[in-house]
Amino acid sequence: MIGSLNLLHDGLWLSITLLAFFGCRRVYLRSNHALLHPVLWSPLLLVGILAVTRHPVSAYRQEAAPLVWLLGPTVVAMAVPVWERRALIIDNWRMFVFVVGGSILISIASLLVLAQFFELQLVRAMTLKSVTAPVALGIAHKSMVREDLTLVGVMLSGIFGMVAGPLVLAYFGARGDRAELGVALGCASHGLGTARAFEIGPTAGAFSSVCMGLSALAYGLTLPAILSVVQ
Amino acid sequence: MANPMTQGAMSRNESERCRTSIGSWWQISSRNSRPDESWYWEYWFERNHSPDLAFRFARLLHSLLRWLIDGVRWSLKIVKGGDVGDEKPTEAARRWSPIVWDLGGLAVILLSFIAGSWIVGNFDIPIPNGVMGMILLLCLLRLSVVPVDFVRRASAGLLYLLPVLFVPLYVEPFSDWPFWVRYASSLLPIVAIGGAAMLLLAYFLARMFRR
Repeated sequence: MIGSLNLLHDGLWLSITLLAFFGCRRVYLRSNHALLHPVLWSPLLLVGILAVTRHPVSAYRQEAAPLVWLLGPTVVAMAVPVWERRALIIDNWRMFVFVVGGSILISIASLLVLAQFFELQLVRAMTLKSVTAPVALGIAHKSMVREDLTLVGVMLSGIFGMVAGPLVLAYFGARGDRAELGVALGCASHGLGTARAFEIGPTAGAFSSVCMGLSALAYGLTLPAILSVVQ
Repeated sequence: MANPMTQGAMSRNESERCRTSIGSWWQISSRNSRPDESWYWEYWFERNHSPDLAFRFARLLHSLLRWLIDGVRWSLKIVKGGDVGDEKPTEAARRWSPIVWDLGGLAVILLSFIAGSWIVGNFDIPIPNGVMGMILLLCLLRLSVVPVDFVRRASAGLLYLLPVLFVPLYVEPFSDWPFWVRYASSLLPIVAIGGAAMLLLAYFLARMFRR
């Protein structure tokens, strides 16, 4: 009886999470404004609901654990779009190698430079800001990096890329549905950047999703070793 | 001795006569018997227009089972490239096969993740479990063990859900006001400058090396 009540209670908070997200998504789709993205507003809405109902955040995190667990299989699912666009990857392999390799080098350089000015744990977390959240969390977990800082860094860099990315790139002449624009957004702003690239056009979206998937793979393979050295 | 040709002609005539007589007999007998078979039409009318509850339930159960079995049979006919052969999908297949395919695809993805976690855990490999699962799934696709069509819909479904999965994770930092007071002044410039640098580097490298 108590078990079934607990299950109902957990199900209730899962449902509230889904309702909050899809409600915010509806508003976002109607307004089509990047600053109203549901990833930004639905956690704020949930924080409000938790405060009103006086439900502890730690308890909420446990109740919503099934959703968080699904992040792992979702990383695995990224293999499918990468596989489906293998012809695109093979055609442009040189570009992808240089872009993904360059982004890893930039991350390492920023780690070394920023460590002189800021707290080391913050800088280590910021190294992962350009990787998609499930992979960044996996690396953070493996490398003893603070997960909350990693998540906030990933979220802020995603929002930055979504809102400011096309504007910054337009200043340098990248306008319209172009592959370079998609690559830049996917590499710097992971999933949110890819969503923005798909809004710009299918070519930008396809290149962006491939770049995001390859970055996830490359960061996942290299950064844990690098972060274990810089402690 | 009778001419065989004449004999054959006679037999043809006989057979024709026979057929005619059978035909006329059938016409007469069917005309006569139709009133006696009225019970059959009444039964047919009963069955089609006023079935009782048990009959209706049995018919529903039967059609459900047929949908399920046909759907599973059709869904399991996987050939390379995701084609299902020449066979046209039945109504049942059309209704059930997406569900069966989605569940099968989801099972493959979950198994890849579990196998990846097992490998990372047992061999102490310093990469995330999901990335190892991703590599395993790529290998399965490369070796044609799993056709890409089998996992496409499940993968698309999971990727559609991806933004929702972050929400519980973001709730904790958003509710932690002291966290923002402490880190906002450092976080925002790092993200803005680092993000812009990464965007520009990726853009120029892509422009240089794109075919």
